Amino acid sequence: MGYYPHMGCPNMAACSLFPVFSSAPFLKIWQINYCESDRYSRCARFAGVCSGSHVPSTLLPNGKHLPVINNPPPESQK
Amino acid sequence: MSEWLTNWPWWAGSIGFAAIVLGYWKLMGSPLGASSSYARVMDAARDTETAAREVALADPKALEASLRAATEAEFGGEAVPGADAPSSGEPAGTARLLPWTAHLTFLVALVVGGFIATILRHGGHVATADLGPKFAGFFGHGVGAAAVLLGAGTLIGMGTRMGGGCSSGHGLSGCARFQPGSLVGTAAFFGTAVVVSLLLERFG
Repeated sequence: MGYYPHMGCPNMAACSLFPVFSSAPFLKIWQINYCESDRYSRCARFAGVCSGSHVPSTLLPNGKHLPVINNPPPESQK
Repeated sequence: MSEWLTNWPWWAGSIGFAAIVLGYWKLMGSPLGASSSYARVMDAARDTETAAREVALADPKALEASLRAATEAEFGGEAVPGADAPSSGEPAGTARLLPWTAHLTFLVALVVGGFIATILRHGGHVATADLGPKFAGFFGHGVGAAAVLLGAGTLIGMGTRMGGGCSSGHGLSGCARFQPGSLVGTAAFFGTAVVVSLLLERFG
């Protein structure tokens, strides 16, 4: 996989979470901190792709998994 | 009408493919590809914990709540509007995290669709090992032909994983979105196929 720090993460097009992070303004902070410029080098998903290991779809860039919230708050309380 | 049940005109097929891959991209925010769906199903088979998590997060509201919690835990409450107090909030995300069951449905539909098309085209004669006179002329019948198909399938499978996608993922979804890697990859594998076909025609 080629490394072009100025273009951001080379795995953007294939990453299942990148489009999720584009879906709401408050998620942009993930892209800024893990996908753009040369910061993708610390992303756990990118590291998994580079090592050829299984990258779960729910794995966050920080190495943790998306939590399952059993009772999400109703829309009016957000 | 019967032609539309057997062989679509090239332009109709092109419009159909474009509508599907671009519509999927617009709606789901991710590329559509047969091999990536297959990989997701295989991943689910060996990683049941993630598979269960995917199913739980298939609901958009559950996914948004999960994303809010994860974002707050990573960057603090101020990064997530509405985390501390009720507010108007931000518009819910449009992207979805498709569970493995959705990918399995897609793969099953591919097979079922091909099955239906074969029935319509061949009037109910589905099971056939005949790959046409050209194939038989080059590779014969029986074990030899089966070995050729086995070897070809293995190489295609390896190339698909090593190249990060197949003819649908790179050739349809990637090229439709002008992805540089997909343009190069598609040019490489279709170009190679054209050259090999021409060589077989010439020297075979």
